[in-house]
This record gives sequence, structure tokens and C-alpha cells, in this order.
Amino acid sequence: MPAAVSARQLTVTHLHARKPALRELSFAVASGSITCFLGQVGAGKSTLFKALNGLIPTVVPAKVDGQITVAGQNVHGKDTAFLAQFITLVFDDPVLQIVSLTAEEDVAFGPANMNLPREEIWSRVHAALERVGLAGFEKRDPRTMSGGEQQLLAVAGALAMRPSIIAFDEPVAMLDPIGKQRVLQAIRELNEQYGTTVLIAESGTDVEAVCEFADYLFLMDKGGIIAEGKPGAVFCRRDLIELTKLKAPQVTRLAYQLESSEALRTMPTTLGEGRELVLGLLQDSECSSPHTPLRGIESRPSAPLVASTPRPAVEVKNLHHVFPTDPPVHALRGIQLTLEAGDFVALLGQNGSGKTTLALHLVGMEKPTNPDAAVVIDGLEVQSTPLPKLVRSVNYLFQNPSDQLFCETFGEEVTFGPRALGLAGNEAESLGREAIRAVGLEHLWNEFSLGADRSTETLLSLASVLSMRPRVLIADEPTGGLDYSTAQSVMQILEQYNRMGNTIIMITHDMELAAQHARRIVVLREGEIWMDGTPQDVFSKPERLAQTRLSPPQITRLAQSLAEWGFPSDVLSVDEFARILQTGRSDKSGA
Amino acid sequence: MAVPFHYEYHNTVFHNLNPLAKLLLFSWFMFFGGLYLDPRITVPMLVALLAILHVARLPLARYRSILLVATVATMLGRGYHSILIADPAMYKAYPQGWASTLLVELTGPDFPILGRTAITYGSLLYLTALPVQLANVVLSVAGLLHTTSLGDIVSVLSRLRAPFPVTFMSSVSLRFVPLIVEHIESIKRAQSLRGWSMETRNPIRKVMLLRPLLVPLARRIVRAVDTLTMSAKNRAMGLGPVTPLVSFEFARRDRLICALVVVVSTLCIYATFVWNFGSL
Repeated sequence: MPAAVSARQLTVTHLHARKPALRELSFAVASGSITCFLGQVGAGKSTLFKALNGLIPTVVPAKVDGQITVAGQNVHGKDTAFLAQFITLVFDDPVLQIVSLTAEEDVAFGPANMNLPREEIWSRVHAALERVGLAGFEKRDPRTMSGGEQQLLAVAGALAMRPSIIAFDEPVAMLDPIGKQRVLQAIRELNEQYGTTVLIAESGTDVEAVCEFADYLFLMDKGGIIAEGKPGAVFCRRDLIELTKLKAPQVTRLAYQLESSEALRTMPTTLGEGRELVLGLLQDSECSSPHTPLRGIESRPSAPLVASTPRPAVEVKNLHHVFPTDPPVHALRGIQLTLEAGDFVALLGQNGSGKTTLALHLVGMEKPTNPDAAVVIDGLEVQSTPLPKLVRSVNYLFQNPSDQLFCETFGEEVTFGPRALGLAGNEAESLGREAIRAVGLEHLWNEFSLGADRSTETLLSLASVLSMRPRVLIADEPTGGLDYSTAQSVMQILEQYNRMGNTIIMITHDMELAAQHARRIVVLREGEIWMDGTPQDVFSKPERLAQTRLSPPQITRLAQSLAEWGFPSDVLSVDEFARILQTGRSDKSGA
Repeated sequence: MAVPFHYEYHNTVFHNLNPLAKLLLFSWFMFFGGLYLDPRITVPMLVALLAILHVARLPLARYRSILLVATVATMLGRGYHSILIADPAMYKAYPQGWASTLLVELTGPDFPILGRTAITYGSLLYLTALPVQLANVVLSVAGLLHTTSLGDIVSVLSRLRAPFPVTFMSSVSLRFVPLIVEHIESIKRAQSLRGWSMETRNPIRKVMLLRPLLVPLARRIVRAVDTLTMSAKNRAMGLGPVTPLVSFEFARRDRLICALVVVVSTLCIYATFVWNFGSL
């Protein structure tokens, strides 16, 4: 098969950078394939994609050595606008790539720039919107669309240009699970129906979703390709996966835990492959009858419950919120919620379900639109409490850490909050030092903080919130945009803070994160509480969950697909699944 | 979040006009409403504009605070002119004797440099004219952007053979307004929760207190400009001639509006030069 994209000895060094972002990269991508470039944040994926369509060096200044060929065109010296006819890039943030004020005009933007006849443009626009499931959205303002819809709109914009190659940079990073499925499904259909070559950059957060679709995978680290092959073959190189600190799919991590994993030539990466592996093991252990339940399940530990406290941390009564848009949007509909002090709660729901609006009411940043609503935090009525007093009881870690950061040094940043609340210099410094120690950045106290990388910014903004010691901390997508190892660090810090008796409310789209860390899950749907219970309760009801466009973690879905073999429907972690499997196999073999 | 100066699709007569007709119509209000001072002309113009905006379903409440801030700023910046127009010769449309009637004399005619400064009927008229003039300009821009999509504006500019950088900058700036408003709002929230507040009477300290807002905003804007530029290039912007998305065929009402604007503008220009139309 001819190569759609190839590079030979490609080295890219950004202006003023000391080290190259890509080093002597050589690869070829087969025409008509779906190829994933997998690597941590900073591995060079985005740089590579920008070099492929000429954004580097025409828009982003950099020194480029080596050769890139895209759809038979030598990229060297060609402008992005010209190359856009052959390769189009879809960025990770849908908001910033939408250039027009209605959906149809945004999709038409590319074809109009290509000076196609008007009839041809509108025909492509309608076909593209239909293809991604946005027919009927033509006149909608993209800002009023959910994150998933905006990303689909960006895909439609690329689709309407009909390039032979589309490169997606973290295409589903900001979407809910079903939204991810919808976008990836659209990408798959695009590949199958038009033979479009699809390139996907992925930093690991959505590796499970991407592996379901990718034909081929390049593993990147520090600007180079360190492994390539079918996803199952690449994940066989466990040493490299650990070296790059990437998150492997849960079924792959399950296989890593099995004694027989070293004999496997290809690792399972999809749900189907995981199921096949487990079925093979069960059959090898002479567990020939699927209807005999596995033993040892009864002894599974149940989730620890938080004892009811005399004064709950959060009390919300009959909370409504209507945004005065045209037509008005009823974002919250009579929310009733009580959270105990010391609880760790995950707030789930599809994009636009009301999670952030609810969270903003808890910190007094939104006001209820009905007079009889009540929001009480740590005994304080939110609406009548002055903000400086309220922020000591409840605070918010925003999804975009750079919104919170402005000081020159790390030390100034973490002491800003306590100082602004009127604490004396020594006391503020002591709180700041304690908080920065908790996130492991104390060695940077006097260092310049502006321009730090995303991981450091997230840890710093977490420290700047922790320095105010709120008894209730709301974390909005705390691991969004982070690599796996930093995400783990952030979650450990939150758990540690929770163990100190503080309440954590985490808004997330990452089901594994919720299953792993939360003791209670509240699911919102169209502004109402749709489900509320322990992670086991919530994730064991996949049909009800699917109605709010969510799905359980991959390992839970694997257990549910093996229900006839006696696997419980509420398995939450790889360790738990492995333990049940080992116990079941040894019991059956013994019997 | 609802933001001002932003296109919203509604099926109204003004949304469905040819973009060139809309551009002419709102430009007329913008130009003559901003040029004339005489409230006898600018107030009826404002009433007519408000009627148009009502039909176009413009949410006027969104512009209340903008108009208030702009009015205060204009009064501070230009309001002092009102006491400088005590000389009867300055009035061309109103009876000079009445307009220069002294209500309160501040400085006499022999005062160095300034001469006579006073509050007169004319200065009160001038102070009334300023907010009306401002409202005409702000609301006509709002009306144009509310009824005309970005693509239409870019198409009109392309049609008028505006150079590529002008078209590109217009496109990006119009897309930017709502984005910046949203960014400011989210940064304000984030900083308020860190105890940041603008409450101080000291104007120097007030400016210093803007830093927590401006530093993150500047970073966001730089990132947004970079990404929008890359997105636009990535979608073939600058490749060559652009196909206008809308047909420039004129319906009867478009032709009528264009003809009306041309006739009225010609009359206005004639009246301005010959009869000092619009002056005080």
C-alpha cells in the first residue's frame, strides 16, 4: 500500500529552544489507515502534526531538517493554505478552531477559501453536517453547542474540505464517553467510506477509546519513535510503556497482571480482545460451564462509607437555575443534595448536564433563579456569606490552571490567596509553604512561575487553592490535559487532603478516575440528579448510565460482558478483576 | 453566557436582508447618528433605530452597562466642551440669543485663553446630545453584528475587494469579542475565589489590582490568537480568491432600502452643508 504520509530524518527545533522537539524521525503511514501517534504530553506529537501541514515553520517558527511527503507533495516550502487541500488538522480545543458564528458557515469556511462554486460548498456543508450527525444544527451558534457537538463541528469542517488525510490532535480529550464514541465513530466512517487516511495524536487519557479504532500505532517518546506496530503488538513492549509512563488500556493492564502474560505475542487493547483473553483462560482452566458462578466473589470488600455527621458539608435544597438566553436554558431543575463532611464525591454527567453550573452555585459564583432555593456549605448560607469568608470553607480548582496564575514566582502565587484574605505575612507564608510542599514543588519557591508547563501549572494552581485550606474543595477535571503520571500525583494529593477530613467534589469525564477514587457518585442529566450512590451502585447499571451518555470503565464493562461466567457487574478496578479471575480459576481447577 | 456585539440568528426581516443593504442601513445610522448633534434630529433617529432593533429582536438589556460606561467616559472626555460654547456665533441651527443665554457664568470674556465659560441652554443641549449620539453609534454597530453573520461580513468585504489582511483581521476580531468576554468572566471567577477584589478608593491601587485579571487574560488571548490563526490557515484561508457564501442578488426590499439610504444620505449631506442640518 502506498504511503499517505512519510518522513525521513525529520528534525524540528523550535525557535529559541535548546533541544529539538523531533529528532531524526523516519516513518511511513499507509494510505487509508487509521494510525495513532501515542506519547506523553511533550513527546512531540503536536509538533509532528504541525510540521506535516506546514504550520511549522510557516506560522510557528522553527528549524526543520529532513523531508516530509504528504499525499505525494514535498511539504518543504509549501504554505499551510495550499497543503490544506491534502491534509487538514483538527485541534484538541474545539472552541478555538471554530472561526464563524453559525455552524453552517463554519463548515463552509474551508471550501469557500478553496474558491469552490457556491452550490458545491453548500452541498458539501450539508453532507458533512449530516455525516457527523449535526443535521438541523445549521443556524446554531457554535458557542451554544456542547463540547462534543463542537468537536463534531470541527470534524465536519475538515470533512467538507475533502482532504485525503485528516490529522486529529487529541480529538476526544474534552468529551464525555459517548461523545468520544460519536466522534471516533464519525472518524471511522470517514475512513471507511472515503478511504481517508486518519492520523490521531493521543497522550494516553483516551487510549482505550482510540485503540478500539486504530489500525497501527507509533509509540513516541522525547521526540522520537520508539516502537511501532499493531496496537496489541506495541503494548507487548511493557518495558517501553512503563518507560514512557503511559496509561495502557485496562484490559492490557489486566493481561500484564496475569502469570501467562509473557507468553502473549499480542496484548489485548480492546474490550473484545480482553473478553477473548479471559474466556480463553477460563476454558483452559476447565471452566467449561459459563452458568456456574465463580466462587470467591462474596468476599469482595464493599466501598467504605462515610458516617453521617451532625453538620453536613454541603446542603442544596430545591436549586433551579435558568440562563436568560433566547430560548432560556433550564440548567438546573430542583437539585436536592446533601454531602457529608469528609466525603469524596465524583460529579458525572454529559457535556452540558449542569455539573459546572451546580459547582459554581456551591462557591457563590452563580445565583439561584428561584427564591426558595438554599445552598449551605459548612453551615454557611452561600448567598448571604461574604466571599472572603466563604472561600475559607469552599474553594474551586478550575479546569484551566492558567486562569488562576499571574504572580512571578511560585512562592508569591501560593501566598496570594492567604494574603488576600488578610492573613499576616508569616502566617500566609507558612500556609503557602505547607501547600507547595504537599504538591512537591517546594524546591521551586523562588523560581519564575509564568511559562511553566501544563503539569507544573496544575500542581501550582492546586497548591494555591490548598493554601487557603478550604474544608470543601471542588476540582473541575483535575487531571484534564495531564499525562498519566502527573494525573496520578494530582489524585494522590486530593486523596491525602480528603484523608485530613476535608470534602472533595470532583467533576470528571474520566470514569476510571471516578471508580478509583470516589466513594460516592452523583450523575446529573439535563439539570437533574439522575443517579446517586456508591461507584458500585452506579457503574453496575450501564443501561441507566447510557441514558446520560456515560459508560462504566472498560474493566467494569468487561466484567459485565462476562456476567454469564459469574463475574459481578460492579467490578471497579483491574486488581479486583484479576483477583476474582485468579480465585475463580483456582477454585474451578481445584474442584 | 449571553454576550453583546454577537450574531444571533432569528427569522426577522432585518436578518434576511442582503448583507450589503444591512451594511448601508446601519452605516447610515452609525455615520449620521454619530455626526449630528441636534437632538431634534438624533432623538428621532434613535427612536427609529430602536424600532428596527426591536423588530430584529436585539436583546437591549445586554447593552445597558456598555452604554452607561461609554456615556460616563464620553461625559468625562468631552463634557467639558459644553461650558466652552458660550459664544453666540457658535450656534448655527438654534437661535443664537436663546442658545447662548447665560444660566451660570463660570469665567468672564476676558479670562486668559479660555475666554467666557458658562452653562447656557446651548451647553445643556450639547450635554443631552452626547449620550444620544453615543447610543446611535453603539446600537447601530450592535444591530449590524446582531443581524449579520461573520461569513456575510467577510463576504461583503471580499465583494468590496478589501485586501486579505483586512478581511482576516475583521473575521478574527469579530470572533474574538464573545471569546474575550467569556475569558474575562472565567478569570474573574477564578481570582475572586482567591480573595481578589477591586474594592478600593485609591485609583493607583485599583489599576495595580487589575494585574490578576490582565496577566491570565493576556496569556489566554495570545493562545487564542495563535490557535485561531493556525485554524484559519489550516482551513485554506489565504489560498486565493474566496467564494462569497451568500448570493448578492438583491430582492425588491433590498433595492428599496439601498435606494432610500442613498437618497436620504444625499439629502442629509446637502442639508448639512447648505442649512447646517444637525448642528446646534
